[in-house]
Amino acid sequence: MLTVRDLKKWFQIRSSIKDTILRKTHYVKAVDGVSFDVRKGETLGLVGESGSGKTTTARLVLRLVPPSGGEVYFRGRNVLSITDKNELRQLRRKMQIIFQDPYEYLPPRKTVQEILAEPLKLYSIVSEDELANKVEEALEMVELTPPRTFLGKYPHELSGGQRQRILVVRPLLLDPEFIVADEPVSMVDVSIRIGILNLFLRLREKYNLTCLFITHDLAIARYVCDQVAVMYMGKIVEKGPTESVIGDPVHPYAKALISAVPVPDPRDRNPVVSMKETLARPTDTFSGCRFHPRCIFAKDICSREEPELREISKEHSVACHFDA
Amino acid sequence: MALLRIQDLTTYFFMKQGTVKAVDGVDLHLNSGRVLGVAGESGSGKSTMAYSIMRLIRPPGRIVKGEILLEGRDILRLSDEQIRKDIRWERISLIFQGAMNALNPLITVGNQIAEPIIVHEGLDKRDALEKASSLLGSVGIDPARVNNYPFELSGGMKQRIMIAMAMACNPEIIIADEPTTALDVVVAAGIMNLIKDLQTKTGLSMILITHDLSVIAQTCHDVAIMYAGKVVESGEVLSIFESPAHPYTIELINAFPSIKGAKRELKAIKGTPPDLIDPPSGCRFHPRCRFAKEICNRKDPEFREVGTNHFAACHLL
Repeated sequence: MLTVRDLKKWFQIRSSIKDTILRKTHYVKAVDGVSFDVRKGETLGLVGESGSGKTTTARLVLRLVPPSGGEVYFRGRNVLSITDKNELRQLRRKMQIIFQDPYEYLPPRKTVQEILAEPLKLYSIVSEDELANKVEEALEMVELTPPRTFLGKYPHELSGGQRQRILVVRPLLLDPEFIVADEPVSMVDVSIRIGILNLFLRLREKYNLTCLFITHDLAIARYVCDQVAVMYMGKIVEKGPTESVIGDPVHPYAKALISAVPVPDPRDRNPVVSMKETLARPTDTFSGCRFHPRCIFAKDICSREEPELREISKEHSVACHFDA
Repeated sequence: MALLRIQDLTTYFFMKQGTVKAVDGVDLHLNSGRVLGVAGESGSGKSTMAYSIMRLIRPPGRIVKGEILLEGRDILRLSDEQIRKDIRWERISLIFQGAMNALNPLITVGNQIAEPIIVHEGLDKRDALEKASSLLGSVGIDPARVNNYPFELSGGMKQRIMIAMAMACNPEIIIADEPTTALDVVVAAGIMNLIKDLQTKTGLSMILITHDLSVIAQTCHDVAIMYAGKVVESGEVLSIFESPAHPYTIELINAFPSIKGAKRELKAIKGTPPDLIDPPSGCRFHPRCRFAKEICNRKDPEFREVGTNHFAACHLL
């Protein structure tokens, strides 16, 4: 359903006078040539640490941020080339987002009723008299019951978990086909997380949604995603079926990342695969593999040539010169 | 032998809306040379307990009752002056939550580490800076960075600086409040390894406060689970994970997805965290408990031994 090819987002940063004279521009290459496919009904997880480019990638896919290059196809149609406002509007209805921060993404001066009625009104999905019903239905769907008690509340009167549920159901009112979930539970208490994730899974199944799930938490990615793509400094370094990538990572960064995730089991205390520490800045220009300064396996070729993402087994690809 | 013994610690915050019973009768002990993990969600009282130990509670908060015995001596009876001179930094140190933001941006990290050394150990500035330099080395940072300002360092490095500072005067106990929250996974793992290393090398005793059970599983010897201002279960880490007794502990462990092991559907804990101004009657967890009976509503359960070194507060045990 979604195809992304060579997506790029480069942020230009201010140059010094010396650089301007030498005509050197510096960029933060937040997303630098990202490609992936998401099949209908599937959930692809974009995992990585902060600064890896996963959130920017998600926003590029939804055209919330203008790209520096690349293509995004939704159901065969090139999303980035649409100029007709109406067409874009209809597209937005089909491609929606669940935001991360339940404290920031709900308008503080609107009631729950108003917040949920808004998308319905914008797209004239139901008639005026149907509105109240539809909103109540939505609240029931996310287990905010009895719905009537929530209609008149303002966001600050709700708990973090309740707000997050509103964030989850709001986009679903538009009956979308594709959802981007941007770290939907990272700002919520641990005992509430599973409730929201299970809810997300139920709704996903009910609406047959195709999803792009952004998270830094690999355990959550494993719980929710069919496929995962591990990102590092704007590039995908490994991708494939969740169990393959998380269970048997090949790329040195993926190996280090996965071994660093603590397991909630005191009998399983495995050593962490290490990486060298670095103070490399996102603006540094590199030759070769982005990860090579931190890679304990790095050889000569790694600093010269950038490795391509290559398939090593069924649907499992790695970008490393030593992927054997 | 219990190096630190907390008995019936009760800390309330007297607010306009009502009295927040943040810590309500907590019993805990920390054995010498061991790492005690204190697990709980936000609002469980774990940070307030840490601040109570350090006597950092300010109005409208107040330690209402209880004893904190450090090698048998109740530090709650000491004057502010005595706490400042003899206890803080020297015998017990605290690494705050979001500690990396606690560094003074205008002072070099070397000088910041040196400060407690100068005040407590009486060294002069030059010697203190030298010690600071070697402390940097012991936490895995290039000693030459002693003249760096905080903005020149990454989040992980700043956290290491906080650890170095906490260790500066060779305390017996270090309390770390969420030392890895807000850090990337790999950086966090590095910090946890550092803490484990230092603890084994120096025989330090630690209290590690976190909401993350995985961190506790990986680094602690003993655990205490807190809920709504009370300790609901405590014991050795293996006992707690293998045979959790309290329903909250059982549900909490089941609410943590893992990257290993069989993939199974996890169950949410129903309900919401309690209101600390008006907590539920009887057992605080009863409104959310699958097994709740009538007595759970009426009577607050006693904290009793349920196994070797394993305690829990539940009527059904």
